[in-house]
Order: sequence, then C-alpha cells, then structure tokens
Amino acid sequence: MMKRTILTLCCLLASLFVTQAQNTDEASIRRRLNEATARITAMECDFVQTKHLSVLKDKMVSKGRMCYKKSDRLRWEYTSPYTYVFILNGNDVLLKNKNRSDIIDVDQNRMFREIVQIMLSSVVGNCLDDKNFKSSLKATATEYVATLTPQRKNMKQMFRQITLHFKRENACVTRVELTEKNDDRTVIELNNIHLNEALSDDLFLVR
Amino acid sequence: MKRSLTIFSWCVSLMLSSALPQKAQSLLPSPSGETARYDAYIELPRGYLSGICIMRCAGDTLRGSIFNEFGVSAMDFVYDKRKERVRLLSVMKMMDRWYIRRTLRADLRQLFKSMNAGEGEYHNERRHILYRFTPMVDSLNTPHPHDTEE
Repeated sequence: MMKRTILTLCCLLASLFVTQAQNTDEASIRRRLNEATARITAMECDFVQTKHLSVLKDKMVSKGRMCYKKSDRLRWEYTSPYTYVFILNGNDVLLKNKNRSDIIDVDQNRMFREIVQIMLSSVVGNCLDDKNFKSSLKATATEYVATLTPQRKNMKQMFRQITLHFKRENACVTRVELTEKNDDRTVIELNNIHLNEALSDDLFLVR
Repeated sequence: MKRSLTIFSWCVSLMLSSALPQKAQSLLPSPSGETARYDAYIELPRGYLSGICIMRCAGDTLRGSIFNEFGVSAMDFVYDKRKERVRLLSVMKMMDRWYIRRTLRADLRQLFKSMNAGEGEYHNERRHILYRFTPMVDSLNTPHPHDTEE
C-alpha cells in the first residue's frame, strides 16, 4: 500500500516537472519568435501555394511573389498560372485580376478584414500573442511550429487551424498551412526570402 | 469523264461541309477521369467573386470545386450530366442560405448546359448575376493521370 502511494506521488511529481519544462520551453520559443518578428521591417520572397482539394483528391499549384513593409503594407502577387495582385496599404486594398481592378476599404468589408489579418499574421508570424488565436508551440530539430486555432466567429467560419513553420536559425516563417472546415488544405511555401532590404514604396501603391 | 465528275462531287461536298455550322466543342471535361480548370468569375449586383474552378468527370457526373485565388473554398458541387441536376456539397458559411443555394443550383445547371454547348457564360437576367468560366491555360497544373492525391 505504502509502495503504491509513493509510486503514484513520484508519477505525479514527474508529470508536474514535465509540464513545467514544456511551459518554460514554449515560453522561450515564444520570446525568441516575438523578438525575431519585431526585427522584421521589410520582407520579400517568392511563394508556391498548393491547394489540396478534398472533394476531388486533387491539387492546384500557383506561384507568385510577396513583399511586406512594416507595419501594414503587403503586396501579394500571383504570376502563374493566373495573374492576380493584392496590395494592402493601411486600410486600403487593391485587387487586380484580368477582368477588373477594385479598391476596397478594409474597415468596410468584414471578409477582407479577416483575410488581411490572416495574411499579415501568417507571413510575418506576429500572431502568437494575438487574442484572436489560441496558439501552441513546439520545436523540432530544424524548425519551430506554431499551431493557431481561430477564436473569432468570422475566422472560425473559414479556417479550422493555421500552422506556421519558422526556420530555427533565423525564426523566419517558411511555410504556412491553412486547414478549412471542409478539410481542404492550402500550403504556402516561402522561398528566396530577403529580410530588411530596401523596398520601393511604389510596390504598395493603391490606385 | 467519270474521274472529273468524282473530283467535282468531292469538291462540292467538301465546300458544303465547311459551310455548314459546326457543332461547338463542349467545355466540360470528358471522358471519365479527365480534369478541367477554369478562371471563374461571378458578377453580382453588389460585388463579384473571382477564382478558380476545377471539375473532374466521373462517368455521368462532374465533381467540382470553386475557390478564390488565395485558396479559400467557396463551394463544392456535383453535376449529374444525364439528369442535368446540380447538388451542392458545401457552400462557404457567408453564402450558406437556402435562397442562395437555390439560386446557385439553378444557375450552375444553366451554366453547365451552356458550357456543354461550348459557351462558358450564363447570365441570370432576373437576379442580374453573370457567370463566366474560361478554360485556364495552365502549365503548372497540367492534369496527369497519376497526379491525384490519396
């Protein structure tokens, strides 16, 4: 009887230590990622977006280029197999496809507000302390992985989960996975990343 | 003489066949297993949706998905070519209302009938909705028989 009690106590203590260690580990990763994110003033990269369609068991690959300038300027441009430009500059968004060009006030459009927030958070990775997401972090040998669960109703209606992969050596986002409610998955891989290099303001012109 | 007549009648028949209207080629994927991709554009009285539509033929049915350029799903559907009926498998929450589903079902049915006749456009004049599906020139996603996911 005594033996069993001691064993149970030891198990409890051990699990307490493991949890404590995990919390400390997660806190240190969070701190490291937040510090790295704060240092990003500009970012430029190529991206490959792969949409996995659950209904068709098929995928659609598109490619493009992304430019970001702190804190609210983003150019997200698809070049292949279709051309589509999304430019965010403050509260204004320019959408340009082969049919038309539109300027949208983000504050006036609920859906775009959500999309803009997800895009900014994803590419820069500054959503770890965002109350709109419940986040958990883990580390592998080569990367940090943040799993975000949307908390706001509008965002929950679009995405079940968002996973961000950060390169361990510079804490930079290299891969984003968006899982939708219908089990479709969109994977965005960021390549040829250039951090904090000069970017022309003309890239972000909304007109 | 016989040979001249044969050549003459062959020339006439050739001229007639080229003058007759040709049956337009269907824009829908066929035969079974074939996948087609389209630039999708839906213009509404107060806004528009643009994106990509992918359809795959499986016997008498077409399975398809429409999503925007960022990859966010708008709807998944099945079209029964024999019965000319559309079934919506999922619709994004923002559009998931019974009256929108009803309009979408009816309009997509008309659009697919038009596409089968070689015309990638349908205009719902009552509700002022324009559907335009243009086959995509797509080097990145050229369908391959083994290029499906498990």
